[in-house]
Amino acid sequence: MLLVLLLALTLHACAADAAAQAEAATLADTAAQGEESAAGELTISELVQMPEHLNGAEVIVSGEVVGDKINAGSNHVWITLSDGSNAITVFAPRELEQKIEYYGKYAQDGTQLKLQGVFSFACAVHDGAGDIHATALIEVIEPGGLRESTLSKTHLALGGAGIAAAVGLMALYSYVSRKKR
Amino acid sequence: MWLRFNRNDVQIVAHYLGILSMTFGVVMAVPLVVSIVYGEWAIASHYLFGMGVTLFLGALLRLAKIEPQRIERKHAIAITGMIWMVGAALAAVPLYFSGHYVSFLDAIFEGVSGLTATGLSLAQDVDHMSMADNMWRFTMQFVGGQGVVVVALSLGIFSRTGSALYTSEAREDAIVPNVKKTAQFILQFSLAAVAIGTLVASVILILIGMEPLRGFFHALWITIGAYDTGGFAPGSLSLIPYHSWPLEVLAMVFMMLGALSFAVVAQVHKGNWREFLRDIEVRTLALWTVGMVVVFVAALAAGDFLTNDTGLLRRGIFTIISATTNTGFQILTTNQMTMLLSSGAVLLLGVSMAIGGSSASTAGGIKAMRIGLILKGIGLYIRKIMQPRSAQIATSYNHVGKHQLTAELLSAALIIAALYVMSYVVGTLVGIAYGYEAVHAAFESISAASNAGLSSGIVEVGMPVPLKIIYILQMWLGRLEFITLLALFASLFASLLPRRKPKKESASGGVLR
Repeated sequence: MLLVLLLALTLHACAADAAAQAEAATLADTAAQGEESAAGELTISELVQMPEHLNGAEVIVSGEVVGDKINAGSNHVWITLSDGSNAITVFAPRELEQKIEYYGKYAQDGTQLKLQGVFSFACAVHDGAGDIHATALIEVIEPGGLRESTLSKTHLALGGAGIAAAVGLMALYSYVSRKKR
Repeated sequence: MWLRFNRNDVQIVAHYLGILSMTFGVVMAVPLVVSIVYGEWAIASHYLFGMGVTLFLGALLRLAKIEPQRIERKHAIAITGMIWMVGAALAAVPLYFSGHYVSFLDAIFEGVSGLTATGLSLAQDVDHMSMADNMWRFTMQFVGGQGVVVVALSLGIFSRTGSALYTSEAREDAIVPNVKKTAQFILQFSLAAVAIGTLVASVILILIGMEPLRGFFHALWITIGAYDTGGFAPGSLSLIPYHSWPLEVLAMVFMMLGALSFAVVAQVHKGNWREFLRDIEVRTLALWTVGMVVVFVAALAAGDFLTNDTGLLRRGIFTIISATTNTGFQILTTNQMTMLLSSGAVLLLGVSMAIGGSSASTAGGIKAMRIGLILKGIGLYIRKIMQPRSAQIATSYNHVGKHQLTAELLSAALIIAALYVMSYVVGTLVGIAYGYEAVHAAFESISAASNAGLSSGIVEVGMPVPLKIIYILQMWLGRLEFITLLALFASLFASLLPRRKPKKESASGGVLR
């Protein structure tokens, strides 16, 4: 099973690479054209909640890059853009990766991007995935950054006290149990 | 007459609930270690606090009875029934402080969903959730998937008194004659399966570009989510962001493995493939899944949503297997499911979730075994009608050996199936009463009661509180297949009623009126 899966993975990587090359359009090439034909600026929630008449339209969306960068062949990557309530995956040229300083995760705010791209409710190229094919980076709104994760002294003290009390109660149980015998 | 609990019974139940709660406290060390490794200091203090609360309450409850006697059936019902809710409430403590839950009820919802391996979630902003909180969510799914009692038994707790507890946890199959050994087989097999799945998934995730350590944890969680048919995911979009069909294939293999009965898996483990292929449950599940895949893919193809064949097969097969095994992983977004699938396709997913996987597996729902037995029973009934009254007709089925289909077995299967259907209907009606569309209300109700976890969008932070409570009850009842909890509720109710005075006899021997 392991061998079959690894073989499948290799084939998948080759197929993704071919698909990516077929679509290869750089951000720089399409930026000017994108600005002219964009349907309008939308939040990700608006986009995913009224998708039918936006399917195939050029849209501008803003959001935080969260999760992980996933390779999609040699020229493209998948990133996830989130507005906190809803998220969508974006198929983007690899050069966009250089603009992303942080990927949103615990104690880390991801880079906020404003992107232009073609929205598909069920993308024909990507087996029906709901996605945006990025055509232009409008701007980097916020570079993102790290947040501090500080120890809560109250929780620490109460937790320690609870564990100590539990150990005391267990000792009491053993004592009473021995006495009872 | 209903069973009643006296003071001694309550003390025995409290004692064992205390021991199980303390086990939960010890298990919280898993996310605590992860939080320390990742330097998530705020989260580490939450888990230390959670451990303190859990261990203290557990130790206190344990003192209710010093060295109690053997557990009786009624104690087993109460302990098993209550530990799932007590455990969920304790598990909710560190989750609540994470800041991803609006209320403590939402954190309890997550705890119940995790322990019952359902996968419905009220967590907000999962994409910023700490590694430790995610580890805790998946640890709950692993413990709940195997069974809280099974894990406790395999660790040597309840070694003298485990049999009644084991059967109270909706498990009937004894893989080996000794209950403790059976529990140990389940846990060891599950750990081995998760280890293999994690290894393969790690390779896939690292090859598609994930950072190795993060890839390892995502691989572990996805494998646990699939094998324990739990369905939680490390991010807000389930398996969609990975865009990896090898990962989806791997998840499907583990979802199907998790939906198989441990008793049947043990036969394969012994090399007895013949038994596996003849098993009524395996056959029912295989036929049902293939049938549902064909109909669902046809329904998708009839719409103009998915236009290429690969997409149809990829999304169709995965979604049906996720629903049939009651896992809840999604590679279709909730909006795609609610806006582009026809109501018929949504209904098919609902029916798949309602039936569920195998008995004594990690899956929920009515179970393929009961459907198989009911179908056999229908066949037997028709044959009986067509024969002369004097004719003796019987039928048998294969499930780890050949067994006769008895009236008692058939009625048990019908009763539990009816209870599931009643629960689905009640949840649907409550959803409708709150103004949700009937199809979506039915979908969500089935998903909760069958411990599936697919969502049509009703389960979200803003849903009405009574609906949250209904879904919590459905997840709890569904995981224990109703009987244990209904018996517990009835016994508790009977215990609260005043005892009737014994009837005095008259001098003539008649009863005084």
